[in-house]
Amino acid sequence: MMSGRRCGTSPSNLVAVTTLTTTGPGSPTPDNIAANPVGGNLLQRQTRTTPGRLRLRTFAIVALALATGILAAIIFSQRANTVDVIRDVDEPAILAARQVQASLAEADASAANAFLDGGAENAVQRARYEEAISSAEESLVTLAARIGDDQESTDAVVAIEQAVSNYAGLVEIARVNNRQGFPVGAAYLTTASDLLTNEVYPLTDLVANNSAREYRSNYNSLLGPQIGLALAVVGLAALLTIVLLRTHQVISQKFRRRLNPAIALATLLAAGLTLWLILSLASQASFVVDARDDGYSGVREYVDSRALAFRAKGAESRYLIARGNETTAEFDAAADKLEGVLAQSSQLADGASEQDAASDAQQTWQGYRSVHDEIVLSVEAGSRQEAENLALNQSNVAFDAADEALVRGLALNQDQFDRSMNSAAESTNFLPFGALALAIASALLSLFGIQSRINEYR
Amino acid sequence: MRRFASLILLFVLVATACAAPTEEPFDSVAEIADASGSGSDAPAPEPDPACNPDNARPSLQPDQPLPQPGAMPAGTRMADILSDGTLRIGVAQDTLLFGFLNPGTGEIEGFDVEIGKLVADAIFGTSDGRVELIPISSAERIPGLVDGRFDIVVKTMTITCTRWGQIDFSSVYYESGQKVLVREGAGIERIEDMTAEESVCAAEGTTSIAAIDNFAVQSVGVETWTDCLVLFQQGQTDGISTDDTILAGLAAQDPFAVIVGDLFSEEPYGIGSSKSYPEFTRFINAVLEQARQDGTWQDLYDTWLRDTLGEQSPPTAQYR
Repeated sequence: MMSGRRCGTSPSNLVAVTTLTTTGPGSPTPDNIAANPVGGNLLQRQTRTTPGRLRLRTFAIVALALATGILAAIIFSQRANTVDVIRDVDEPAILAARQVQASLAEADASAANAFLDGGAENAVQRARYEEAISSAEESLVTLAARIGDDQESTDAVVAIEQAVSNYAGLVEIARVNNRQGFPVGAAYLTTASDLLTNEVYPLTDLVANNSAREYRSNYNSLLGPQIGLALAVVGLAALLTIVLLRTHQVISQKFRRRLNPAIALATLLAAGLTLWLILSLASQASFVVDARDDGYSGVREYVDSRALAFRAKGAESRYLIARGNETTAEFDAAADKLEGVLAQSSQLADGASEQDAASDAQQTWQGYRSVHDEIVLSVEAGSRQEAENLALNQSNVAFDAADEALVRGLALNQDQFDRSMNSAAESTNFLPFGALALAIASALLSLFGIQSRINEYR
Repeated sequence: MRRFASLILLFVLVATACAAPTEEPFDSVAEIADASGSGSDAPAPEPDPACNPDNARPSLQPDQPLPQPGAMPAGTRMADILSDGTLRIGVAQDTLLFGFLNPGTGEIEGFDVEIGKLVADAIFGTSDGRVELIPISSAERIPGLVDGRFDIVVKTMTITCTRWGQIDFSSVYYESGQKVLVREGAGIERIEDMTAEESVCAAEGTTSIAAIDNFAVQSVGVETWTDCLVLFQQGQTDGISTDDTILAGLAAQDPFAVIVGDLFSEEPYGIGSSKSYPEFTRFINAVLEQARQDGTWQDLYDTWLRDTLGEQSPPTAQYR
């Protein structure tokens, strides 16, 4: 699954390495440029005199500062926008698509369970069925609002909506027949359930996979090779700092003034901007990695666990309703898969609360599974009535405990995801505007500082 | 500057390593695929050479007289069942009138179920608590008997020579025949009126689906008779063809269904049992003989079937 702690970027390390480098030698300075006149007459004339060379230097500094500020504003706004898209669009779309499936599996499990109670129908399970159908519909609305202009996903959502209403129709026919004591009711229930498995679930998978692809591509644009753009901006800011440092040095020598306050301040501002960019970039990256490894991967595991749990529960009821040639295979397959996911969640859990949630989920699920095993034993021993009583009572109680644990685990991981993504967003909150302001201030200060010296020639 | 460039390169490398790892795509069908085991393709069974293809009805001579309930002769299958404490009966749970789950009581009820219970009565003296009703599909009737999952099958099962090759049958306990059920007002009066454009549904592994192939109409095979009714009500098939008895149960669930035409096959129903215990088959025949004579058969018929299928008396038993 998702690897990743080793990926977490630590802001302090980066700062240490990079600040060292900013004082490194061998950087090109405007002096070097001035020593190699390549331009036309104006440039040649300017480089011949000290004020001319200073004017050129001023021009270079202002251009570099403005470029740094503008590029920082653009690139970091884009990154902030990408963070928002992951947080508000991609992840919620994946979650909603999985919730649709979990809710439909819940509706199906409840419809089948209500059936076990005979023609009179279990009112509690019936109410739960209706609730689950409405929450599936709510998730569909959430989903529809978040898949944007992806035609494939849009078509899939429309098809899911249609299939859900067909499904509800089949369940109603099943119910009406069952109330009249018609055996065809059970056949309608199976047909309805098959509709979910064969048509609806693959469609929810499709939408979830499309949104997961979007998530991946946005994640890669924050952390993949495209991080080079942001690093180039950091490089420009560092270059600006070096140029200003060198300028201060040159002017100090030429004018025998140890401190030129305006240029010194401009240098400080540029250095501050460099540091700010590095810190923000590193913390943004680290929070985005956290959100994925500690939040999103857990959300995925728990929401799928819920869907699998409900599918297993539905299979249990259908096993009892069925005409005898149904086997426990469907239940076993869903339960085995679920237990694998839970074991993995427990392994990957970091932190006490996640660990608690994972072991709680495992324990409560085992509690339910032992009731299920009892049901199968009762059926095999020929006590169908006892098996049905178990399925309608103890089984539901034990199952609800397991589902509550899964819901808690889901909420915990969703919360971690939200917190990390909010922090990622906050880490560059004022950066675009601030970087531009700092760069302009630095440019104005150097302009003023150097111009004051040039004026001394008159 | 070179050092700075190498730092950028390092950062890019770290960032690339941090790029989203490939993850398993969501696949809800595959994750619990292969859940439904497929039936094995057994070689076509050989018919019983002792069976007359024109009349498969004759069964083994009955035991006379019946042993006292609770005192089965040692070494017989009946004695084993007596010591097991329950008789396991394979039944339908979706065939109205013959074997169906009553949602009100949660019990499987019907004419077939009552016939099966007569065997338990004869072994134990009562069928209360002595019967395990195992709901099965049509295709499971013979494999279940051969594997010993249940002791007898009473599930609208037609006696045929092919089946005689694999299992034993009792004497006939009900004479049925095949008809076709269609939509009211569809203008179809017999199965011959249906074209190759239309389809008729039947359960897999039944004599009914084989009989449909004698006509122009297409056949659609499903697992159970109620699955046929679902297809029919959903407009995915134009009719259902099987024994008039089963059709009567299906028609009772759908006010827009009518049963049309004459019987186009003879479907004598027998109780199926394992070929390994001929003494058990003789015992069952003696139980049926008694039910015919003492009016039990008639009572059961009148209770379950007379309203739908009209007056009938017990079919005459034939023996080899």
